[in-house]
Amino acid sequence: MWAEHLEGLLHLATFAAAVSAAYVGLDKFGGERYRSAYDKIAPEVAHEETETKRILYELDIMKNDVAVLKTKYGAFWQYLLCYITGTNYEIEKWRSFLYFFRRQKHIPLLGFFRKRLDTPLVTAMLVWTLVSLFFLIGETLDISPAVRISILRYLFISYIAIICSVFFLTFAIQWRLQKIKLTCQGCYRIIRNEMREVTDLAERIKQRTAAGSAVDSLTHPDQEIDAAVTYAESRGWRAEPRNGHAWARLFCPGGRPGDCVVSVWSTPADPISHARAIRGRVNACTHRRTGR
Amino acid sequence: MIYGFTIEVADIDAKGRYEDTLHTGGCGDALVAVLDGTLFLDFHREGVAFEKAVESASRNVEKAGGRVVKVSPLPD
Repeated sequence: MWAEHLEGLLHLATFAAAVSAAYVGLDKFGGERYRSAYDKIAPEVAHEETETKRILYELDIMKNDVAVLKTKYGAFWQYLLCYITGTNYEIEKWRSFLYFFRRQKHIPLLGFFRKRLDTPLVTAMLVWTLVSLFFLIGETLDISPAVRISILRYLFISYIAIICSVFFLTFAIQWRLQKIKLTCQGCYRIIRNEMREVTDLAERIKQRTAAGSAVDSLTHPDQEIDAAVTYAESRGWRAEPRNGHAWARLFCPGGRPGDCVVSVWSTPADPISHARAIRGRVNACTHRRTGR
Repeated sequence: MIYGFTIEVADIDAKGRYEDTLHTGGCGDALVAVLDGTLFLDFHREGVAFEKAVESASRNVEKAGGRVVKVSPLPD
């Protein structure tokens, strides 16, 4: 009598093993592992989120807590920042059309991750197990054992497939998250550098307009000379804009009446040698900053 | 060949718009520096010899109304 049911019992035992393995696996990979992996990077992600949010505000694109993505430069990165930090944003129609395709790359997986799909997965597997058991013990069903066994075989294969997909999805999500985190840090860095340049420029504007000059004379048209002036400023020199043939006068950090004053031409015949001469004078200066 | 030298200039007011005065004289290629109220011009002039380069620079300084007090070569 037992021999008749041996095959069925074997299947039952296999299913029991598979179900327990699936639960353990889900708990280990689906639950614990990616949750702990997320927890590990959670503080960093939270930190980056606050930082990027601060950057969004510093970028001056926020209007009533809604980011307006219109600037040509780095609109995609701004959009990404908004997405990562969960900030609401307004986007032009054309751009939103363009981003539709790019967006597909990261949003579905992130959504999957955020929602923590354990519960639906476990429910699906439970339903699947019940169906299998129904087919297995369903002696009342009027189907031949051969058909029943083949159905069970397919169900078993699909079971394994589910476990494998959970396993691989978990890794895919982790990898994707890491990528997104890196991208987030990357664009944060880019924007931070841009911000630093803007702040530097603002500082120079402040310094050079202190002498009451026009704003358009803030940077020297020649790159080499501007670099030399910046070098002088980094050594504590002060630039005072002039009108006419001289673009500016540089005052050394000494600050006393007799100390160095170097004139910078606006259009010298040889900008490179002029820049070199400025650097030479700056290096030769021995005056120290006075107490004032 | 290009020679580098510094000319100490007198008779030009080192408080007013001395750059424009020097520029009209043809010293637009020199770096103008003021130290202790004295004008110094750092020239990098081309010439067949050092003396010729200094001579042409001095001519420009005098054209601008200045007087050459001292010439000293620039360290390279």
